[in-house]
Amino acid sequence: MIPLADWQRQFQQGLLHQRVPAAVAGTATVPSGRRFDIYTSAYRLRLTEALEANYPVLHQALGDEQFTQLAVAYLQAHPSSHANIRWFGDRLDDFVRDQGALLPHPALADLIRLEWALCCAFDASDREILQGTQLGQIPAEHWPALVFDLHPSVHLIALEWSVETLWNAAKAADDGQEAPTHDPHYTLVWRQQLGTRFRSLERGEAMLLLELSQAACFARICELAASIASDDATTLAVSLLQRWLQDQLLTECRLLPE
Amino acid sequence: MIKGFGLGLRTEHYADFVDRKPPLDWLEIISENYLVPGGKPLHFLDRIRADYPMVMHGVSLSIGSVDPLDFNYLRDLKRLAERVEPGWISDHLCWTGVDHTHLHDLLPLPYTEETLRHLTERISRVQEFLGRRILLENVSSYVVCAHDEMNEWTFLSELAARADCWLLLDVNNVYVSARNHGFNPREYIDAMPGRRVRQIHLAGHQDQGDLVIDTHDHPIRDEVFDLYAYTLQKLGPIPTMIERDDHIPPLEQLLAELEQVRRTAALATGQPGEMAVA
Ligand SMILES: [Fe+2]
Repeated sequence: MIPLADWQRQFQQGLLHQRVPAAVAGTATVPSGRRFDIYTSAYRLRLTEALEANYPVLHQALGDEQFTQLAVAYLQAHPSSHANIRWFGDRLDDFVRDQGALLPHPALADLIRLEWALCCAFDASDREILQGTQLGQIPAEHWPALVFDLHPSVHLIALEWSVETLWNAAKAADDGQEAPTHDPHYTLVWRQQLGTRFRSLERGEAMLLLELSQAACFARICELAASIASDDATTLAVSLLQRWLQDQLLTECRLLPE
Repeated sequence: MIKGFGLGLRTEHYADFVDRKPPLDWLEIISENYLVPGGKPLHFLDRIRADYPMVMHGVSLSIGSVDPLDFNYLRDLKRLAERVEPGWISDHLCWTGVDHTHLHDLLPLPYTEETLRHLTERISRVQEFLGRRILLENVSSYVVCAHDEMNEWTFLSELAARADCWLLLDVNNVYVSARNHGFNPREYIDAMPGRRVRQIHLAGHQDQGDLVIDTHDHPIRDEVFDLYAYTLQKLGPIPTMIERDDHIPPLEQLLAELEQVRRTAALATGQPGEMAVA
């Protein structure tokens, strides 16, 4: 007789550390080791494939062998803690930053951040998009106090490297990819209709969007715009706002309570 | 009301279902694929649901685990069920991890009196929470516990009676486990409580000689068709579907395979298999 809890802990330890639990019965024709190996192999394969699904470009950049090495090391350090396998890989960013040696190029850590942001944007909550016509109905005197909500899929990530080149090369199935250059910048990741998108931002746009994401009112956005483009701050703020509307980044606006 | 023959909904076939609406009685979704906040998965779920009845099939209830039941998961599942209005909700007779680790595999349980009691209590709580009976599916296995007190079919029928739940009988899994453990699959089928078996899964497997692996990456094998026919002769008509999870072919191929399932069922039960006509 074996308590259920003991069976499960033995089995799990066996899977995680690849040793056959004592309570697993073998047969004369098929020993317990061969039988248990079906589970250990399937475990590794399933979680490696789940990581691949979330990091397709990293997989392509590293190739099968190196990607599998990374996946196995990550799995060992961070077994899944989510009931839904869709979230497996949520800590890969932290993991590679601690274990830099696992990546052939430091830019790949940025690629991981980009891919995870895309992954989160893919199935982030749905919201009604703010339309230009709605904004047009707002009286001019209310504009300074307007604050905007960003769509839940919007992520603004700070990157050190121009990993967009890696991405584009992978998408074009181009093997002779250019090495990414060191180029600190912000990248905007979001979902437009059903498709995920990203684009790198000029510093000015990044600053204003960051400010907006922290519920700053439009007057504050214009102030900040003045520090970036002193001669025509309002034009800058308004043209960016138009772009964000077109990109469907905004979901709602309201008046900042006095 | 779910009857007839269905398929598992896979992303590869979203466009087919939206654009062409092929005739099919119902679809099974993997619940976890739609336990996400929004975006494409839920968009296509709603669109396809408008044209097809659905059932929900989960993989992470972990009903056999000694960890506490995950009520966050169950709350999300219940909310999804409000959206989908499924014919029923199923999961697997297994455990998927312990001590808050998730192994994402359908792992075997020891068939003991203790496990029976543990499961009975948890199934009752889940059914009470969801406000409906659930279906539990027999999984395929490659090992058995050296301390089993009964065989799987005795365990399964005893459990269904004690917990008052329904069963999802995976005929391919019966075949796979029978080969791996050397029992007679018909003896298993004979022990099934007919009125509790509400759904049947069919799938393909890989025969490695010493072991048979439940891969869902091939068409259904003849041996499994035979066992399916035997099952229906014993239990009568039961809603049946094909699970395909890897090397997913064009939808046409799966529909043709499903037609073969329908013919097998018609022959076995002496009833014309019901199949929706678009
Ligand atoms: Fe199944």
